[in-house]
Amino acid sequence: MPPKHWFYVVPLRLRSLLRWGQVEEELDEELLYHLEQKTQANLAKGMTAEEARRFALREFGGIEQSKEACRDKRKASFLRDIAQDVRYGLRMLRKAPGFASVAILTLGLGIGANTAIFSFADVVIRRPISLPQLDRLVGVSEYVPATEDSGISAGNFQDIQSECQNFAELAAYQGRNGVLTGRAEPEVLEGVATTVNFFSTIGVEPVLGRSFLPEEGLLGRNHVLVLSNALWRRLGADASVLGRKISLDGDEYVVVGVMPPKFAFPLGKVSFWTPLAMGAAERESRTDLNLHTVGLLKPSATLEQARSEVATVWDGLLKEYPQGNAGRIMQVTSLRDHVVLDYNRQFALLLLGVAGFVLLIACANVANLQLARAAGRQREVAVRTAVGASRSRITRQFLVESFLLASLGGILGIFLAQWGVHILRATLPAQVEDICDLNNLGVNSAAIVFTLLMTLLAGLVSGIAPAWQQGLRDPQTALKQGEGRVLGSRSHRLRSVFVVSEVALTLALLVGAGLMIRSFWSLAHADRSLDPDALLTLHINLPEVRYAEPAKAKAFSAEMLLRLQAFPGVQSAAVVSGLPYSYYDDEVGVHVTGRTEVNPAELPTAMLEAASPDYFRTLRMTMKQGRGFDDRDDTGTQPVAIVSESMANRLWPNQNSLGRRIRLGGANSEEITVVGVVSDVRHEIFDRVFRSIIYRPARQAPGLSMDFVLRSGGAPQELIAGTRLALRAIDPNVAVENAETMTHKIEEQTSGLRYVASLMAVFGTVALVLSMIGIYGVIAHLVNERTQEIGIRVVLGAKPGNVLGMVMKSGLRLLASGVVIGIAFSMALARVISNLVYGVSAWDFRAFAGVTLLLTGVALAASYIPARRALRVDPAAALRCG
Amino acid sequence: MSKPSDLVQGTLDLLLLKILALVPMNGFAISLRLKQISGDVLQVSDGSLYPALHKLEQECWITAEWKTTENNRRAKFYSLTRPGRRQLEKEADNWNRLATAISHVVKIQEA
Repeated sequence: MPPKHWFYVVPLRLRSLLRWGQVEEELDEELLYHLEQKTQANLAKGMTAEEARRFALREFGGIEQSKEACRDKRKASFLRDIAQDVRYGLRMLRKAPGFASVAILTLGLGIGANTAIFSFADVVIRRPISLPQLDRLVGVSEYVPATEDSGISAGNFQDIQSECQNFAELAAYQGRNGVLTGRAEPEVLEGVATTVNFFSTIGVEPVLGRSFLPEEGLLGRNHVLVLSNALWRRLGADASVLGRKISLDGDEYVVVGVMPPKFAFPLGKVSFWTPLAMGAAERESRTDLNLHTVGLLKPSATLEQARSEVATVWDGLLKEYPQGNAGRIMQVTSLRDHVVLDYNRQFALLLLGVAGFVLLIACANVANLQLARAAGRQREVAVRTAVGASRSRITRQFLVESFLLASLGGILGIFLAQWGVHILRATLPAQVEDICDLNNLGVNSAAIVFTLLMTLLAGLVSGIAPAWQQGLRDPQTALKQGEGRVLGSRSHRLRSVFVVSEVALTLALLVGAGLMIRSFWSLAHADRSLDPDALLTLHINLPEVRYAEPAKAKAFSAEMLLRLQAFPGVQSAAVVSGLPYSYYDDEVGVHVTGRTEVNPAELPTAMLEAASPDYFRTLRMTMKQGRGFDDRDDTGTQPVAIVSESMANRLWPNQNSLGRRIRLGGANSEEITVVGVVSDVRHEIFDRVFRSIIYRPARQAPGLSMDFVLRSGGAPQELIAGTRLALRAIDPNVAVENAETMTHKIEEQTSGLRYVASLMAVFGTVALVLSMIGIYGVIAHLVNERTQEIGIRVVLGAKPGNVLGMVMKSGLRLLASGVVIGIAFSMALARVISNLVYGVSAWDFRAFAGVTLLLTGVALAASYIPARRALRVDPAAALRCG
Repeated sequence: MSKPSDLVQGTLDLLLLKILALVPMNGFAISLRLKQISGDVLQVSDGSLYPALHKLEQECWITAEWKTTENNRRAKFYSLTRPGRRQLEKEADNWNRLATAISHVVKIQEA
């Protein structure tokens, strides 16, 4: 409507919208006036009163149709009609409570599942951390493509910090655990050492006390700490904690601040923050990627500008310090991307897709229900058409009813989602908790908007076919026919299409779930020879301050091993710098003596492990060549190493590895002789190949972080208490971390996968039940419609077997088409999953066959029930009905 | 529903606008006038007259007002609005152009 008309338009529209009753009365009055005048005129022509009236009416044509046509001309009538449709629809739903509740529950489940998963994905992908200026926060890191290491060296960090103008603040931090003593039991706490500007960078300040002062970043002044709110509460939630001293790693730290509740950055269960103070040597390092960064962009700066500026600085650093920086890439990413791993994002999207499948299946079911119900409503539709409802109006009525169902389903879905989120949160494995800030998890406004969209989608998907079909029907034939007797073949085809798609989607979902379960199972049970149930592992981190001298650490581990070996039932005990499945990762470059010096970036790398003599025996690894370690390998004797089989094959393919000399780290470090080759061991659960590992005797290469492992004849858990006592006898200020069986370690690594797999299984089961209902519904309806035909067949001598077969065959036809499409579908899904999860093959015959069998069984059961009913058809009664 | 099938599509609007341009009228009077001016050539059933009037009203080309008739009955009187007058001019122009064009064509064929 052109705006120049507004003077007329606005009052008109308002009137037809708000004063509908009056407008209607006026319409009546207007037409009545016409008829009266006409009658008068006819009377004047000499007709009788009766005739005059009849002629006037006849000349006018259908009064109701004319009125309806007038109403259609009113522009605002659309809203009014919708309101009317909604009222009418609600009345119809009330009349069919069984249908309505099944449909609403189905859609509610589908929508609720989507909302719950969306809320979860939203936290994982969009808001993994809650920081006020998250959009302006970035991470700067060096990345080593060869080893996939990332982090930043102190030297590079300081140069970028001082030279880049796009950062308002750039802070660095590193994880540092600390042993809290002075309480009943020494306890290992996760902590972070940060540059003093850390809190101003992320924009969160302590609620109590203060953050760090500039001078606290200097060695000697750095013994202050900020507590997490949770730790503060555990220590008594006392405001007078400020200024109090806390004993950490045997040192005294003064509490200067307490962070607000729920604050956790970087992710995980951070209990305290201390200032990062570096010695001169550490500060100059260009090689150790031991820092992480968080930077706040200036309000005027963009990520792109920061990127190009950092790139320029990095070019200079590459030229200036080629030794340390070569072969590395400097990256600037938004903090969100820095935190959200691609892996997590893809899992979240996978689950979202799966939930979408479930909703589609739910919609197909509701569409089928509506189609079935529409068959019984032909008379009603015909009557409405006869009194002036246009086809589009009928179509709209059905769509409105479908949207009504979806809206009620959506409301139910929001409640179900709240419950679902609760369950998701309660069942979430600890690993997943570390990837995002779960305090953000909940059905929030974004989730509500998403629910609204899903509801509209559900209404459309489940309603478009029934509505379209109603619009096509010819009212005349409908009126002539009996109630719900004959439905066009189009309706059957439509319903079959829905069931077939349901079956296909269900198959894909179940195959996906099956693949995930199988892969998680095979990952978790791959190491049978290791017999992980009998292995007890403990992690001990010696405080740097008191164990700076290697001899002290050596004495500690020797003493500890002696005590552990003396435990009853212990077959062997060993110590290593990092056990398999412990996320240990210490890569070194390997220089092979006699080989020409290559580009540092192309230097072969290997994982370095310091192991005690019994380590290989305890983990049931076998010596392939040469000898193992023994007590002779010590500081005074020749430096030796044992390499893993894969490493030997990579460095010296088809050659003898024994006696080779290598240097680790710098080219000037001491020369080490290879004295043995040991069998490979899978180090992390998702490793696709065996890693190159170099083992050094623990006595020649002692470290502060050590994993003790003992193989026990009995139940290893029973030894845990004893290990704590043993440790306390040696050093009361050191704590045992992660005392657990090897099995537990492996399970922990697969827990995320197991979680996703079980969620998929839950969705698959829901889908299975829904498609069972779908198949049942279609077959039952078919039997109802063909009652008469079946009666005739029985009269003509059909055997029960024939009738049963005929009905079952329709069910199986649907199933077969669904399975064929579904297999194509699941192969695509399997490809996605196999790219995501190691150990999943895209074509796993057992999973496909198993799921198809399961689905066939369910489909047979779903068709059998109505087929039985067909057998009970009484031919006499059936024929009479016709 | 009966439709003004013999009426060239859109012509009814033009006729109604033209009739109302002369003097405001109620529906019954309009129906009489239609018959009177067009004879039996244009057949507009009473049933389709009112939707057409309501459409013009919704387009804001005519506006309605309840008035008492000479025999003291309340009736809805339609009159042309300013946009309606412009619309009438436009449609009349269109019609004239079309009519001229068609009569040209007819003449060509005869020649």
